[in-house]
Amino acid sequence: MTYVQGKVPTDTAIQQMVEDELASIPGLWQTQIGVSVGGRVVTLSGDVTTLQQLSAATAAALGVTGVQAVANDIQIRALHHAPTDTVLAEAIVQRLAWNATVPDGAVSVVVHEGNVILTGEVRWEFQRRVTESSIRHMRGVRWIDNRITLTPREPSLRIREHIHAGLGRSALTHGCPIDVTVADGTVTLSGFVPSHQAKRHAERIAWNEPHVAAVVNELEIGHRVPGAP
Amino acid sequence: MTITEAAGLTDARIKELVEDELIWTAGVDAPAIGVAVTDGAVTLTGEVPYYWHRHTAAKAVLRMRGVQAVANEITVRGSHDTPTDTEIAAAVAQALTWSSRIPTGEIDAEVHDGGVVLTGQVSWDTTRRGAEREIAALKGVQWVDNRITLAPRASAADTRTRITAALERNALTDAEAIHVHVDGTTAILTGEVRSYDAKHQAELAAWGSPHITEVRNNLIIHTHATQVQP
Repeated sequence: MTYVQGKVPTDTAIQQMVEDELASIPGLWQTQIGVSVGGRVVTLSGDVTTLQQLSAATAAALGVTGVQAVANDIQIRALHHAPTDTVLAEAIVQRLAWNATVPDGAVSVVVHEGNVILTGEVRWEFQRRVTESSIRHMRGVRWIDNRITLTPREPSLRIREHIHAGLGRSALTHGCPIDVTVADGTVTLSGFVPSHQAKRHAERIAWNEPHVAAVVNELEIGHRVPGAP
Repeated sequence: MTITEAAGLTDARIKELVEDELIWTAGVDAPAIGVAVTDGAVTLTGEVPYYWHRHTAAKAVLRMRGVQAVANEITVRGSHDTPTDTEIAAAVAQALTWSSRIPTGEIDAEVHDGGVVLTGQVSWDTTRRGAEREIAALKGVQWVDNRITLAPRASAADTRTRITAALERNALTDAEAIHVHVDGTTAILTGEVRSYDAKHQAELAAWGSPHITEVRNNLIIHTHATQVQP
């Protein structure tokens, strides 16, 4: 058997576990968020006041055993004392300028009613990701539309080999039955990993390869039938 | 049995793999970092421009198969545009004020020669960690000393049961392999986990309890061969 993780939990069990997990998040009222589950896909609904609460709720749900995906219907209510768009935009620009990972001057910011649009071009996917995560916890940020693009990259014939080596070095993805296919710089990951964390990590590993232009993550979370090929 | 034997990797092989990983990890200047391995424990040395780079390198290595511990001896040399302490202090204050995860005015920061000491009292460990992470990401910061304390908490009889339940809910942690011992408001975790991420998640699960003020994470990372190649 490829994974020994006990039996797959039922939707009812998943619902209870997600609710318990949400209840353990500081600063989040248990009753704020509704949880429904169908086919191991969790739908979250309700109202929160910050993007951080929304992200925390999503991450918590994804981390629960057996959860395959999370659909997010949570709304972010406007804060009572929200900063003006101008003040927020200035603070975001400052924040990005001080961040050690965000390349200087590479990213432009537009703020409208607390919704932030990021544009520009960076060399690496992690820079794009960190740009977004570095402002996600700021007061007044209601939503982020990350339109940052990557500098076009030269194709390489060794993408697949490099990604396989990277997956093999990681404690989270080592030994997982992951297929890597490459077409025109687009990498598709398919197969099985035991957790959402491993799925996300596999994607980051693929992005580490400097010749990758896009990553399609089709990894499934869970168990393989014993004896299956 | 040591971790090295368990993962079937010699120190020489681990060193090679770590070097490959650093070369390959985006955001790490691999030639600037030296790698030494003894009994599966990795020591990183060298100089990087920003504190965050030091963190990125260590984290990349911690997540590798066969690595049980990382001694991070990388130093931060600063860059051509190293800000003054006054400028850093202003950026730190700005970061703390604007953070929606840090209650206003609960955390104080002192900057000296690029080092930042955080003090204050908060209600949750996650707030304390969040503050450190915000500050560690700033340019010019050489180190962060997190002295933020937690507000006193009452112990509760069902703390252990609740932490164990949280470990069962988490897809990364195998609750049966982790032993939770609660002594007053201290949680002690022992046993074996498969990865650094699992060890970290277990600690966060313990901190999720409102009745814990200290977590001793004695979990050992042990790369079992239970995940086999199909």
